[in-house]
Amino acid sequence: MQPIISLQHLKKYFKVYKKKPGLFGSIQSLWHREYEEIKAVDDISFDIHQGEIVGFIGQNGAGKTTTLKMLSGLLYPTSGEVSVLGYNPWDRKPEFQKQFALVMGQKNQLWWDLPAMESFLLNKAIYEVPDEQFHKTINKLMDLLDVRDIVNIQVRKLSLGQRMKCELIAALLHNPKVLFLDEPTIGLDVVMQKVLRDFIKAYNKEFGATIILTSHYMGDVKELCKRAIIIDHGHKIFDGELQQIIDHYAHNKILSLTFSEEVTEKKLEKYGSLKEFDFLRATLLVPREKAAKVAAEILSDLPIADVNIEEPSIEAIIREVFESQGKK
Amino acid sequence: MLKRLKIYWIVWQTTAKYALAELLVSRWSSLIFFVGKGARFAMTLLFLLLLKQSLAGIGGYTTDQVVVFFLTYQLTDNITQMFFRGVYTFSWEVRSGELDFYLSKPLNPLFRILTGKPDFIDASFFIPTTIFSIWLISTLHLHITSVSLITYFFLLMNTFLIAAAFHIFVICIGILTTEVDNVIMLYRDATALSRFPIDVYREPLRTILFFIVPVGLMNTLPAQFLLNLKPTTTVLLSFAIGGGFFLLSLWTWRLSLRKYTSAGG
Amino acid sequence: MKKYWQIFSISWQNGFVYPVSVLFWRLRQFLLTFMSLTIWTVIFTGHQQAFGYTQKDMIAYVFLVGFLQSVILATVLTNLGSDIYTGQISNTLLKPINLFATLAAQDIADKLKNFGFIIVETVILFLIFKPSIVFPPLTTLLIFIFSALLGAVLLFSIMLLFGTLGFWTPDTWAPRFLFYMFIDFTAGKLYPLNIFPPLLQKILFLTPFPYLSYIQTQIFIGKYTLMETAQNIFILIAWIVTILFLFRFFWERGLKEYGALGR
Repeated sequence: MQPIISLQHLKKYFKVYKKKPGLFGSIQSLWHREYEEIKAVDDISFDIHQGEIVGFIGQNGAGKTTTLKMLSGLLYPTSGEVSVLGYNPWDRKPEFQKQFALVMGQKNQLWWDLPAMESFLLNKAIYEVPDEQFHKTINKLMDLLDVRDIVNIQVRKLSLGQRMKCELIAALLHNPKVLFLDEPTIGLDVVMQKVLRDFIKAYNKEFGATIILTSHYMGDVKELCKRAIIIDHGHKIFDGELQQIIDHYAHNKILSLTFSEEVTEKKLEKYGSLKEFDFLRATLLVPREKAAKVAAEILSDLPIADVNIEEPSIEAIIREVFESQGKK
Repeated sequence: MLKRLKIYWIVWQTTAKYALAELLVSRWSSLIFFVGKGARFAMTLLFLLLLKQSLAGIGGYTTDQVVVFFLTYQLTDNITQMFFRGVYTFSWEVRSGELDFYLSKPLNPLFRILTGKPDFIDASFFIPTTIFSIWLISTLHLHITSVSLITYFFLLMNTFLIAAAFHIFVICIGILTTEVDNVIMLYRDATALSRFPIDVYREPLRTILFFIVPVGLMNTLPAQFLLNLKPTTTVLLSFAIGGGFFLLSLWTWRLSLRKYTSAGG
Repeated sequence: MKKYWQIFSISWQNGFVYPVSVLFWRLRQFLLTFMSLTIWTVIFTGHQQAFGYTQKDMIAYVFLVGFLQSVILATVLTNLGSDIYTGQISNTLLKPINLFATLAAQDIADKLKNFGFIIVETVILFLIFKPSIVFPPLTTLLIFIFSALLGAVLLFSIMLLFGTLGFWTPDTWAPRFLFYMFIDFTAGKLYPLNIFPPLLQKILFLTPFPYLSYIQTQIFIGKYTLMETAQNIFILIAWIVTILFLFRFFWERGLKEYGALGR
């Protein structure tokens, strides 16, 4: 099967002015300015097949949004090849544009002073969605996201969560086959995040859409994506199943212990590497395979009030991935 | 007391420094603005010059005298814009919630809003145009005495008082409706009416522009005194109206603050 | 083209969301025209002629310019530069819709709105100043309307060109400010272009400015022969073509370097 999305040695470099700080620097800038070349995307290649939900993970400025924008046809690649649904995004053919959607967490496409429904009708006209299909899709979306009673209120009067839901509907009412979601849950509360995640999952299942998702919230990635691509300073440093990262980098499990009596550090160090120690609490890192056994030993040997065995958080794992990259 | 003044001076100095730095960074824009203002000034003078060649006078004034009215407007407008630049960014400050910071700090928020970001383009424009104006006036046929000159500058203080009051009113409207930009431009257009002597306008506009929206008191009256012409009203009454207008604006400010609803979350 | 009709409709609605804002804007325009009419009325008391104009002609000029400015100079493209710089246009770029047609539809909605207001304002000013405006014969009137439409297209093109600055800098207001300053004395409400000495006029006619409102007024008042009218309209079209050409060039370049800034 042909991949739906394909990047080959994609590069995007930017030129940025530098300004020296202070008043003297400003005066200097009158006759001399320095440039810096930023390698936002520096040789990235990957293929994505239909129906996949892929997570883009990376720090701020790593190149995630830049890559998405090239996939959408907004940015002109410095070099390399891009293909989405068989089209070159930069050509911006209407047939291509009708089949994908880009949702950027902080960029609004809804008209601020008018009710969301007006923007929906506008998109319907732009994407040439037939009446029947429009009504079917929009009803389904409005119910899924529970926004029926707010679509006729001015957008500026809505809360961030409500706005985000309406932005999603505006982006999806033409049933795109490919979805680029850039930080879709940013700034939303925990409940809203879950609502959006469930929605994305449902959309993928129902329409077989191919989705690329960037997010800072590991919860998003963990719940939605089987596959993750990690980008650091414009390079791809990992591309594979999320579980692989966890297995590969998370050698240890975390034992959180609460004691009923004081225990010395020395005693604890027999069982594993001590990460935190504080009066009646301690955190121990134990290799995965031995975790259960060690926990049992501790329970019988030491005065334990409570014990918890946990996976390290994805954030911690990813941090380790970056740190090990730095050491390379 | 002196300490308080020093604090205000430091705050003003700091915002001025930033304004200057910004200006230097966007050097081409600054230059373009300078040229634009210069063009505007030059063309209006050219118009008056052409009028002078073609006609003797306007509405009972000689064209030489009309030039003085225009230059007075130019002077006060320039100075006002130099120092009261803060109002032009006010709509952003209200919408973004920056205003909250001003209101919660131990510094008079009006001071911050009015004088924030002094305009150095206007400042650098001020010097050449003032020198030019003085030279130009010296070449015209006018009757200026030292008494009239002193009265003129005395009345200009009233002008700035009224200008401050206008700006405060604009700020009040901004707090209540977030509609600042059009209102401040309306103020600018209204004062631009005083490029020409206000008493050439018909009633009831003349009365309105002198006593209710006292644009006439700002520019026309001082020029009338300077040129030893028949003034529309007395110095005393002018200051009374100016002072009253200013107090009204402060009262309105206090009222508006009570109605203030902070920007949303 | 249903989608552009939709854009028009939504822009129209959007234009009335802040009626106070619109009213203030119209009040300002009204004030400017009023000032100009007053000044000229005063100037002409005691004089039959000034600058080769009679009072009738001058008043007619100011009325016309006020009218033309509202429909030619009113534009929504003032935000194009900053929309490009902040990346806001991304939203439109990735949809199957033509950005320029969108801007044109929005502009037409805006001009139509202003048109409605200027009719009302003109009636009020008519009642106050009671000018005697002689309407030209039908053919001249049609040519006038045609030249006015071309003037609007010219302004639209110039604004597009200014918009492309947004690809490289956030400071898009300065050049527009300069532009409006020049409009003020070449197609301005206070005085017509031909009060200037001939040399200055010649220089100004090398620029596109006189073609934005000035020549239209002269066509209306009947100051041009057929030959001159044709000549001026031809130059007007030439300007439109030139500017659109420049615009196209900068637009293509800008798009390639487009950083689509902001998140």
